[in-house]
Amino acid sequence: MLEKAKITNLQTTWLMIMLVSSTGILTLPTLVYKAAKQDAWLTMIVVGVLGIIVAYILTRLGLMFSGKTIIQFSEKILGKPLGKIIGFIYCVFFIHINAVVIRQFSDILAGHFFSNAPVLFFSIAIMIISIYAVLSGIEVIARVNEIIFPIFLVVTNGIILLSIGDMDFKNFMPVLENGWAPILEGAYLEMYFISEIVVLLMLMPYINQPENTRKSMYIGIVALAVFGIIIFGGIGAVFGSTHASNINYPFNALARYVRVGDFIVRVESFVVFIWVTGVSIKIALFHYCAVMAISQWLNLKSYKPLVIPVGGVMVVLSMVIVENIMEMGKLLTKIVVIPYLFIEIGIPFLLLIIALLRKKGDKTYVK
Amino acid sequence: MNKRVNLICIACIFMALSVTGCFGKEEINQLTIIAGVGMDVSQKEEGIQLTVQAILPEEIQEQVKLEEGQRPVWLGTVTGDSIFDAVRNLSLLTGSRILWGHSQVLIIGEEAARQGIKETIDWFERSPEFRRRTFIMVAKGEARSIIEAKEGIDKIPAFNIGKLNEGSENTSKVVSRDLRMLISTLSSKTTCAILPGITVYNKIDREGKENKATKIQDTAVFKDYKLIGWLNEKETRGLLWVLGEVKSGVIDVQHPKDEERFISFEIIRAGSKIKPRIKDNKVTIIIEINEKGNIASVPSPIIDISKPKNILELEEAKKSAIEKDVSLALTKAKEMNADIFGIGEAIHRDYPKEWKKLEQEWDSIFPNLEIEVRVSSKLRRTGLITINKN
Repeated sequence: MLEKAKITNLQTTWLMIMLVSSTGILTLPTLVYKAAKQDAWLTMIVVGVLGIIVAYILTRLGLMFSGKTIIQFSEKILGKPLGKIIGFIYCVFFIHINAVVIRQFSDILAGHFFSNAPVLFFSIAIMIISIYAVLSGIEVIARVNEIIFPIFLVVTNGIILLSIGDMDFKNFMPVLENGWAPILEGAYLEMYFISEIVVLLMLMPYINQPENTRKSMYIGIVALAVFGIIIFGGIGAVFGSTHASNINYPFNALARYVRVGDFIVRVESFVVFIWVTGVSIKIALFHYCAVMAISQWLNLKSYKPLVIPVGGVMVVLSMVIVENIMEMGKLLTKIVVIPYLFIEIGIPFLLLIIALLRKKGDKTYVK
Repeated sequence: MNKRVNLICIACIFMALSVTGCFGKEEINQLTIIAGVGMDVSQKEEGIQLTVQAILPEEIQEQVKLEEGQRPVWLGTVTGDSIFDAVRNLSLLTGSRILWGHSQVLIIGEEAARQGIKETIDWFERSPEFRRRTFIMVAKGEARSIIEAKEGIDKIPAFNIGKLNEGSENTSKVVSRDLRMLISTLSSKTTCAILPGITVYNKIDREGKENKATKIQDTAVFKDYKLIGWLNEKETRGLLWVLGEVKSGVIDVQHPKDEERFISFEIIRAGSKIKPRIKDNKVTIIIEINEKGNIASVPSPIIDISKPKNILELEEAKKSAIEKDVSLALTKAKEMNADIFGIGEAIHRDYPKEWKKLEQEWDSIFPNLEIEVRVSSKLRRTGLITINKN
């Protein structure tokens, strides 16, 4: 173990919800409304069910190899050469996904709030925070999230509550106009967001009561689905599906639209607040996982020397990964979906099957 | 060690607070804050003419006493090839950056509206500064004259127009639309957009001087992004009944015993439902309107409203008044072949499969559509007194 840290199940669940919803809340609604039209909220039900299956696979693997991360137990399951390849895939995955997140983060800030500032400025600023967080360890990230997460929930749900007066629930009719196919398409896009909980396989060794992790993850997934229905529903009820699918960041538009009396106006500054704090948690967590994965893959004694170089790589990669927002859209909806889904769900699922067939791993926890 | 960390933390916080706003800093004296904007087709040259009303920050303070009729605003008119060109050309007049975030109204000139509002809406929606809360209206005549009219209850005339919009539900004689509502309607293929009209009138002040003031009047009907006609006050009320947007207001009906006098009812609440029915490929529409109201005033001759029979008669009179307004609106809409009520979308909601075919032929179906209006109108209270004894 590279770090002597303990986090609770509650902290982990909150981390996972934050991880998925912090970027999902701004980027997903447009993509899903484009695919599923007025049935966008239904996609969250599909995602919730599938998410529980993912959570089952991940926690089962984690329990079979308690005290080990996916980098370590993949070697145990598949033998050293194949296991190393799997480990390498995860090292690259964490760096790549973090580069995408950093780019999204900076693009929104530069495009919507600070139109004269360069994108790189925000990437470097968030990376400095992330480096500091990763050097402090997972316990610190989890505890900071304990402060941020309740604020995140209050702000997001608050914005939805404040716009109830502008909602028109006729916008959701007709239900299932084009059958289930558009809903599955929307759910497929959401799946790789919710499956980011694969970082659980890097965090399981630090959880103090791993036997209860599965239950708390189930609760987390259900909470995420409900939260998603609230956000998608709110956006769709105010803007209507055609309009919502044409706005780049509908949740931000919703916050800008809020007006109660003459005094609750311009609440979009809160959106910036949750965006910056929430995404900094997400970036720090992926950064931490990347650094941990690399140092375990190389059998290093300490992960700290890697933190700054890996951070630098992420920032540089985030700058070259896409040229503009249209390419970003294509990247998010076309290019990365299948590789990400394979890494997030496919590999853990295959590992679980092989481990069961080869009768590897500890069976005391497995029910 | 701990002390050093604390020191660094304090230094960081201090720096974060003191060096904020390095990027995109905007000083208030280098900004022109727009309160309202009007858009016309340029008369002299090809392109667009923008008229803006900007707030003068020095003069809006309470201490500064303004002369009678003076307003703390600056007016400017520019032309440009496109909207954005015109917007940037504004800086030629002001020498500063333009801030749109506080703009309350966007007025589209009648001529510009007839030529189409698609490009206009695109810019105002795309711009990160402009807000979807901005009220949109169509000027009767030139938008410039509306923006330049200075009289009003608010210090800033454009904010006054915003107030007119917010107060529209007290009378329910005019509609009120902001950018979000307009775009939501425009994204439907069959529903025609409506916007309130605004016009200038002369208001004579104490010294007998004439001042220009604005009021909302009539409703502009758009089809395919183009202005195609106007609804008058009665037709607008009829439209609002169908849309369920009547919030409050007055219904006047003729006194049964004296045709020159009117009994007034106050509308307490109202709602509506559009129920499409499709039978044997034939579409019929049922519009249900529910209204509840109080008696506001009953002029002489005496009507004994303590008798239930008389109340029923009044309810019936109120009901037929509503029906009349609605049928006026329906006739006008059919005449213009403009589905301003969202009847098409109602069919879409209830009969999604059949709608796919109907949508293509909607323009030929709508004018001949069979529409049944069912009004239920109830009287709740009679006010503080019962019989009109005077």
